[in-house]
Amino acid sequence: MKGNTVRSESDFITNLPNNIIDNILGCLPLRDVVRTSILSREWRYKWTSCPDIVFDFWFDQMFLGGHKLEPLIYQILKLHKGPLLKFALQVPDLKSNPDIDQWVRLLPNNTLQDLTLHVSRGETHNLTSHLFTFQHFRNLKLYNCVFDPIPGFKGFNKLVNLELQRVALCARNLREDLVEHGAPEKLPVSLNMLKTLHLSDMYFEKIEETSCAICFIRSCPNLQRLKITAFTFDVVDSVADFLRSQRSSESLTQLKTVKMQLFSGIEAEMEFVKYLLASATALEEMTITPTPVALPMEESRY
Amino acid sequence: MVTTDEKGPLTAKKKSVIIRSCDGDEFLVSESAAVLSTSLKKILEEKEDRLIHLSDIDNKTLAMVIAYLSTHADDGLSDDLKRSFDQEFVSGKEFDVLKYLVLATDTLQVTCLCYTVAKKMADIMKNKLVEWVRREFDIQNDYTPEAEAEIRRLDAWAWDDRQLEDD
Repeated sequence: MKGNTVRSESDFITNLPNNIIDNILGCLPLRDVVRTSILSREWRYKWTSCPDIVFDFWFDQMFLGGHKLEPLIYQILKLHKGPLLKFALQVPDLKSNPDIDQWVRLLPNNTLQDLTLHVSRGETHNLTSHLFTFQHFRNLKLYNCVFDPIPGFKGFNKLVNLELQRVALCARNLREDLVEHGAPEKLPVSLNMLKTLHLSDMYFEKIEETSCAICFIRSCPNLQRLKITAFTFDVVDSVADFLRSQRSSESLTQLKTVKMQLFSGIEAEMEFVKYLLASATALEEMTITPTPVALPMEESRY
Repeated sequence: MVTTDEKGPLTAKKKSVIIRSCDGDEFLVSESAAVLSTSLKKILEEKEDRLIHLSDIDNKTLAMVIAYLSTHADDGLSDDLKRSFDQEFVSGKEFDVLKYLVLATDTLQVTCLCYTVAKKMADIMKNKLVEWVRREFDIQNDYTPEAEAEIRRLDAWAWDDRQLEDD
């Protein structure tokens, strides 16, 4: 076979075009990526253009050993050169601390498409305003952070997936005409690209949380799939009243499927479903899965 | 550009191109499959002639790429089926096959397949000792022992070899 004879047979992999090497590096765990630096002199800095940097549970548990994570994240981000597309920080026991902002400031706001920040312990983390300068986010996942946009924030207009868990939506700089229930009627920017939204652990007994959910849903005119995992214990009448008072939204015309999980059937949840049914004119499928009933309760009646 | 004027959809659908490998063999490919390659699409937009000669892709590699393109151009197949086809497509393939495939997909700009093959190559390299990678891919270690020791010292966390494989 004579194909690809231009390249020498030996050490084929070193001679691959850089974009292919970057693709390969992007599919390797971070430790293996850094380890390529020792293969040969030509490989010394190849890893620094790896498009993905992921510090995950696996990395923390398997590879870190006795080494400290913080200086390592800093060192890797300082050395990185190529266009970084993805940065994920989801190690166990990550506490809110100023280092996180320092790392975020090292991320390139003109290339990064995918950001995951999972602050798993301690206080809700106040994110650096640098976050709002990123122009290319397609996937954004934040856990236990405060989302407080800077004045003049125009939105992430390429966003396709947004996942917020235990995130405080700060209305201070969003709009002035809103704050009756803790969230604006709509976000000041519409999340045009967003097609899938998953609201998990949703407390239907908290009016702030319910109003945030409605605010988000209204701000996604092209939303197609909505999933809500409820997490409700108490019945709070004011939440049902609040939901009843909401006008149906005209911006849900693309919504096709709704999944509601761990549904307990309280009035607030029922009102929420009514709200969706009234608003989503193109809805094709709604699946409601109830909270599993605890059987012993049933037996104790006899 | 494809013109679908007076002929109607049936003829338009059947349009095909001939692709010749560097070994000289010719493959008949539907145009809808060929244009899934960004490079082939550009060539077809620019020239009338329906024969494309690829001087750096061999028979075996080209046949694989064409099988991939034809499957993905088949409207009758669901996305799920196409995904499982992709999985099957690279599974069990030797590195020697993958390396030509990855170059061909890069040349032809079949981004998805290029990525799938690169991922498969990464799977082969994953969790392996540096010595294994050097041996397997004929990478000549041109570091002096001192220079290598220095790098190992700098990124000490990365060199704990306990969980790594050498076969």
